[in-house]
Amino acid sequence: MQDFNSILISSLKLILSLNSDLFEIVILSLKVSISALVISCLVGLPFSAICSVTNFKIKGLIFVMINTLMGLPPVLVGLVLYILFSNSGPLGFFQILYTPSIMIIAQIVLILPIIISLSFDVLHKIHNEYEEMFKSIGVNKIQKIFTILFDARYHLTTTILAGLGRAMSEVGAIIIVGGNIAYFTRVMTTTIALETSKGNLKIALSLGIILMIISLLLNLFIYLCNQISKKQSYE
Amino acid sequence: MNNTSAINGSESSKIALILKNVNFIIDKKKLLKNISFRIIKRKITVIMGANGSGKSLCLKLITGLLKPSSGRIEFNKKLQIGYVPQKVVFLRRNVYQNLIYSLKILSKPKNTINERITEIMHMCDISNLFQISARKLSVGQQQLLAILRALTLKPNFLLLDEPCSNLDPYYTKIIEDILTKAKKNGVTIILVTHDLSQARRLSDEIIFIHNGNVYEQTKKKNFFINPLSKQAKDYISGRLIK
Repeated sequence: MQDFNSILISSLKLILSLNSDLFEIVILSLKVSISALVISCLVGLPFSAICSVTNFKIKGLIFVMINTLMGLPPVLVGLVLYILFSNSGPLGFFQILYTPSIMIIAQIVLILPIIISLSFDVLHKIHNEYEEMFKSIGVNKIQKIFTILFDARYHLTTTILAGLGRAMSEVGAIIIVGGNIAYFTRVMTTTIALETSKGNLKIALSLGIILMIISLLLNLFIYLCNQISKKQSYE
Repeated sequence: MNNTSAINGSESSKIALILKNVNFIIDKKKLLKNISFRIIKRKITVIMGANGSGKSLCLKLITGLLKPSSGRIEFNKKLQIGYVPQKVVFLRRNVYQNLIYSLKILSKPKNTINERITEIMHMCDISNLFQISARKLSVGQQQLLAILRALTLKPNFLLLDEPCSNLDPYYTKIIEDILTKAKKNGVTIILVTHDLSQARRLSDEIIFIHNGNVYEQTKKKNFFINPLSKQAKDYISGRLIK
């Protein structure tokens, strides 16, 4: 068994050598996670804003379901998508199993509930506060949606980055639906799992360090956003 | 049920608004009991009464924020309402963005917005506060901003719910001057307050409400010199109203 220090040193050397295979994995991870995040935000934020400014009967029920989905086990998501998109499955004709596309779908399923639930809390609070003013001016629903999304922008940054963090650290679902194929669907987390099982701890730890650095940068960015929001959000 | 309609006939030239037998019930509690009154155009009408008497509720019914349980509210057709609530709320934006928000909502062109802001600044210049967060202003500055924001839409009917509560004499004077100017410009004003001296200074007409009932609607002079109801007498003399 290699000692931790020697693995750490060789991992750092590998990172500093800017190994192309390693960075291809990092770039694919970022592509998949950021794509999932963008789509989730494009769907989730307007959905939350619409739910904040409208009242309908099953709204409570929808949010009970969304909150339940927040705790969904990733392997279960992977399994369900695998069944749906496998050749014999009902959506098999899409032929996207073991491609980055289905990895993006898996991550959307996992982070969309987080984006919706966390953003709804913020937007609903702002809407309740503004409601009387909206009514007295005669603001229509679309204008309300744009107003609360704009005024919540700094708070929503934290929500969005929380979603990205969840996407980046995900392994269970994408290893099932992506198949962990080298140079095609292999991302950081799945590579770490694979290389660890093969005993190739140098590459696994290198990716782990990169993942940690990305996580650190994300958290630093969240911290800065919070600081800026305190100054700029006119709270 | 639609409880609002337009004032018809000869009354429309003098009367801005009529409430006819309006009731408001919530959780089986009758908060407004068959109230009726008229608001005369281009005058300042003060609605007075003790806490919880139903003054703010009247304003919310007039603005349409709440709907009466029964009765009718008749408006003059050309009424453009501006409303300043008791608890003012501002967008999470700076003072200037808060001022122009309602104009932007109505898709007013940029030059109209600039003209309106210039007019408002002639009334009371707060341009030194433009870049400050509206939510970080002092209470007095916030009330002032709320009134100026309501005036940006050039309302001819302004409703204010205790705009000077908790304000020092400096801001009270500024706000009262703005209201006097607005009245001179032809704006009809309803002012909810329990400040007797402010009512004396500003009002033309007084409506006295107690426990959801309108006890008096009369000219200022009559109200302060010779109030008709025992409740109004007690209120003016600072006694507990029974």
